[in-house]
Amino acid sequence: MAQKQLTSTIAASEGQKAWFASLRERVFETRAPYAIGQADMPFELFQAMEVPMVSNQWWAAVVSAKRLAPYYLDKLNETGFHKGLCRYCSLSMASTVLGDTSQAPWGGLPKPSLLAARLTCDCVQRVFENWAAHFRAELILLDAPAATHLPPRWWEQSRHHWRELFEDHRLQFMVRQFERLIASLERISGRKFDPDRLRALMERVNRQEEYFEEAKLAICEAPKTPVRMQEQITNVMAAQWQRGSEWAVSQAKAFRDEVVSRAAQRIAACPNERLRIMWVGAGLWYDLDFYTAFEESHGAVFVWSMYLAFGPDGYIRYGLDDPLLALASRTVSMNEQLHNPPWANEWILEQARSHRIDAAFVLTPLGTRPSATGTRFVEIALEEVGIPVFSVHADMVDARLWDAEKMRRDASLFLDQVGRR
Amino acid sequence: MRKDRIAGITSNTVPWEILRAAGYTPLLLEDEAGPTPHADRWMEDVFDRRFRVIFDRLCAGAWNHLDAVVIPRTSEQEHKLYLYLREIARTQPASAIPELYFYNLLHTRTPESYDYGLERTRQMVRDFDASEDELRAAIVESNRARGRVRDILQKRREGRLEGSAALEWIRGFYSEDRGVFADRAPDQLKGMNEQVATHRPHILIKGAPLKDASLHHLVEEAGGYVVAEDDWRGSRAAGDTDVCLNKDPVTAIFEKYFYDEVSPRVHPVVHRDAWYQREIERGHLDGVLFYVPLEDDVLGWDYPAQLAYLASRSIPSVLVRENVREHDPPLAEFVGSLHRK
Ligand code: SF4
Ligand code: SF4
Repeated sequence: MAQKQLTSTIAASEGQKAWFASLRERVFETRAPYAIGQADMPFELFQAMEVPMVSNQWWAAVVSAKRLAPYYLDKLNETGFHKGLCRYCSLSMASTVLGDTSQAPWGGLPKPSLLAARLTCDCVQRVFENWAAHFRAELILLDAPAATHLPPRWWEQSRHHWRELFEDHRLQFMVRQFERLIASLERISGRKFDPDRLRALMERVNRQEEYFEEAKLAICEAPKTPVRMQEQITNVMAAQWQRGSEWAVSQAKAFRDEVVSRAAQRIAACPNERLRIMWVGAGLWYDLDFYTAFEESHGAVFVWSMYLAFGPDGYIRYGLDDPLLALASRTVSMNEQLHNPPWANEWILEQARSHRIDAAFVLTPLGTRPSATGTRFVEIALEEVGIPVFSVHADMVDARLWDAEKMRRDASLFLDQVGRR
Repeated sequence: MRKDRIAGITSNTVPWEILRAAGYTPLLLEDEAGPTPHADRWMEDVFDRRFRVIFDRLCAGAWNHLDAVVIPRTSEQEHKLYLYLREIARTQPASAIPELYFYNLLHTRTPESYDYGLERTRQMVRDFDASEDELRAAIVESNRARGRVRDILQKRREGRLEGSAALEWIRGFYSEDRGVFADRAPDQLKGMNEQVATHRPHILIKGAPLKDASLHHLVEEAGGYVVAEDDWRGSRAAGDTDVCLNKDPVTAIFEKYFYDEVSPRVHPVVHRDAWYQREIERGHLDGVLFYVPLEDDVLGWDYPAQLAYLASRSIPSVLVRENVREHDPPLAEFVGSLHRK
């Protein structure tokens, strides 16, 4: 992989590894409880109750980046789960229950006390049911009623007017589900839930996301991006999974400082930058080199992915007198915001404009339905404003389907054309 | 009761009685032949053909006999269908998409989902302006049709009605006026007294939603008798219970759709599998055909456990991935290996 350019990126990776190592240690030595949960769960509640939570998607990305996905996914198929089923959310399960689990990265995931998911699709409950049954762990699922109030420019309302934006009945319902989750967390951790503590945490999450926003603005405004997309992702994700913790806030601040200072000094991640590219969709975790493969040949630099930009727009909530309700508003529509019309297409269009994007790579995930939807709306919206689109049909974690050479060839041809415009 | 307006519904979890009480004739929106250019432009290929057709015809204005379209939350594809249609209505001014209504019914069996769904059902009754009397009349009509569906299923269990014929007949429960469906059935049932299945093995079909009776036909041509299918278009159309007439009609309607309708979002698994396990325990099955195509992204997660359950009861099974004739030989072989108990 390309050399890391920012000290904060190295700190982020190391911080995350250290966090995981200490989690393993605590779980094995003192049987401390911990949870595995979907990326769109309210991590804040777990944080506030001091029950560490491992993000399922993050762990899948780690397994995939270590090139272990084919092994575990083959095992999954051998067990009778067919090849068309979702891999992003099931890879972590496979790596903990099938085959040689000791091969998993960093010693593997220990047995969790709790598994938790939000039901954005119809399959994830089944993945988690299977998983929970295997571990005999508690399972908490949050159901997901759909939004019907759909103002397209949601990000203009989500910080201050979230009560109106996300519909009261959905928010109240989510709060009631949170109460059930809190009762479990109280039982598991032996601690009492304290709303003031959650409020303070939510305030720190706001601060963290404000730092990310400043970094994002620096990227938008600098003539050439001061930080590559992959390094943005490493920094943002490490902090988001522990959002609101002192470490996460200071990590976000260090990242902001470094990006802003590089921008002020006009340091470019790729001095050869001629084309600014956006990546729409989750990452290609098994082939991160793809994102730097066209810098030399085409001056094509990936400057945008959802991970950094979604921090401020998706997470900031002002007016925290009822912190559970505010947290509900952060959880209740995440999937719509990132994957469904009108919210995903309108937001990505806005991002393309503010980041002066020349071309977009749009991932249509194979075999992961909710994240596969909405991509045509995104592609058409971008094309209609003159941004050429390269469609990538691939899975986020399943390297078995990825022809790295062919993809590079096809992408090069596409970029040749973009460069000629 | 006025019945002069037509409401398209996308599945079994739209409360028929509320629409009927509001003066609509609800009709299930079905697949139809022909190209789907609008779906090809806007929809990823993860959508099932039926939803692609619905999207396409609505965008094209081809189904202008519909006054409204009602979509429930009980599958992710329908949720997305709703969002896509809303977006086309917003951004393509020339499109003539009928009025859309979304019914936020959840199928996790938790107290919160119960309360939420009941409140959403009350809201729907208010939105459609249905009176209590009209609701009661609609319940009576719909329950009558449910009774006839059970009669059809009973004939089949007695071995007097082919599974494919039963499935096609039960379509009427969703695609016809329910009153007319109920009125016609007794006469048609009366003549069916001949045994058609004396020595043929009784087979249950389990798996992905069935689009039509073609899989049934394959089984029947191979000599099998499809006695049931775990599918809302077939054995589970009427459910276990009627809509209760002894309580507040809105609660009764909601409870029917919450507790007694099939959807991929039913949780936990004990409720999802209860009907299937009960059928197996009844001891009338000679074999089970699992239909789990590779496009499926849901049932495949349940299949290994369902298979294990079946094996523990020593009932043979076959797995069919594609519902086409090329796969007839293994299917025929399987059916041929079974013996009627
Ligand atoms: S559809 Fe998406 S959220 Fe659901 S299980 Fe698959 S990858 Fe996960
Ligand atoms: S790909 Fe989308 S649905 Fe899946 S974890 Fe990421 S943001 Fe959530």
